[in-house]
Amino acid sequence: MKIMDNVSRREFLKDGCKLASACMILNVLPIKIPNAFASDEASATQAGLEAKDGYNWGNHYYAYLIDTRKCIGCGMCVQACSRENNVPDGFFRTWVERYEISERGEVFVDSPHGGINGFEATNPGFNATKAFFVPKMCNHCEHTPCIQVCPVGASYATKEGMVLVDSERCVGCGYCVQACPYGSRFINPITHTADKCTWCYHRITKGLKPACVQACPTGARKFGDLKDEHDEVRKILASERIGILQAEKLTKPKCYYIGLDKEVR
Amino acid sequence: MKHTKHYWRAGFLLVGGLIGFIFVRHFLVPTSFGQFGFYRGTNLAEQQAKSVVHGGKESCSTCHEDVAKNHAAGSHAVVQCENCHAALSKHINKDGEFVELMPIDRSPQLCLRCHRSLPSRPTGFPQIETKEHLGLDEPELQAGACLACHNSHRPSLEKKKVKYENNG
Repeated sequence: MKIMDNVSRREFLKDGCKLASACMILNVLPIKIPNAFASDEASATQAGLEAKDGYNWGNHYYAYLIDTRKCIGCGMCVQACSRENNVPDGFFRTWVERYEISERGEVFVDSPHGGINGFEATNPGFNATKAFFVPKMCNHCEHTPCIQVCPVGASYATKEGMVLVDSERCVGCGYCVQACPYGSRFINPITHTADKCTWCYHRITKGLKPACVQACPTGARKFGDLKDEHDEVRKILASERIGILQAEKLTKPKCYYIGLDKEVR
Repeated sequence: MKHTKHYWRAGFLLVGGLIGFIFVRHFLVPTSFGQFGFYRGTNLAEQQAKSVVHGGKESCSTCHEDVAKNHAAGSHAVVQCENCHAALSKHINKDGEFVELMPIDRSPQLCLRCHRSLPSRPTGFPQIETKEHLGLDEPELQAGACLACHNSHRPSLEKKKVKYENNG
């Protein structure tokens, strides 16, 4: 190509327009850039995620079910989570909230120390006609805002559908803590990285239940695998009336609730 | 050509910059990054490798068979041993060796975590007002106040009586 020493303004604009239109057309064409991140089966086996000890992450898709009508607010789940995951004092990966609501619509909500020591009698200052407990935790959303905002690729979703944090990658910027509409994340004061519920990934990959589910004495917390057709949670989700938290945020949470009230967000 | 020198210079800068970028990137990006997605692939194995702390009542029953049998027959069968005692890892380590004795909490506050009468609990769940049940307010209760009548492993009063009779 001949490089011109003198280009008139007219010529320059004409060529620029040509180039812009060419780029636009190329952009519309159905050209697919090969996905560099496509899962490689061989490397998955190497990483211990497939076919090792019978655990294959492609064979699972987990969901969590909380029946608030069964929750007695003992806080054993919070205690078990704290011990299992070595959660620092005053921080919670799961917590239990107490709601007391009057006929006139007054609402009292509390969660003393996340409910880790249970609940004592309280005086909301009005005559509560409706009262219940709501256990909360990371919803492991399908369209999660916390992964979107992570600038270093420390937050990610696994094939089984859980949202995890790589504490080695995490720089502790706290964007994800702000992005989570459920308040499920915190900055761990010891590691200074983002911390959250993992649905006890180290337990479920060994065929155990998450610590909170195991600790629940009333069966208010249930953990299930949607890819298993005999799974209890899958059957309940298919047959019961189920609620989710903050459906308007379109995050598609995978913690499902039975017996939610309009005051619970 | 009057500008040739400039083009070469620009070309060298670009190529040099690219090589520098690839070189620096090589050290900054972990090798397993991008293996499965926009994250470090080896982190999955690291997360899995974390040790399990709670064993569940099945692991307790391997040694404490008698207690487990008694516990399984009563209404507290649904309650995990570790809820009232402590996590298994405090008692037995990963290699199955004894570490220390499990704590035994006799305080009424432990029982009241579940059985203190609260309006937010499901109505069918057994709950007590200590004033009505024992004639004392909660702070006045001594350690073991509940255990004087109830066996925490099998709390029904009748069952406890039977058990004592059987034991002679």
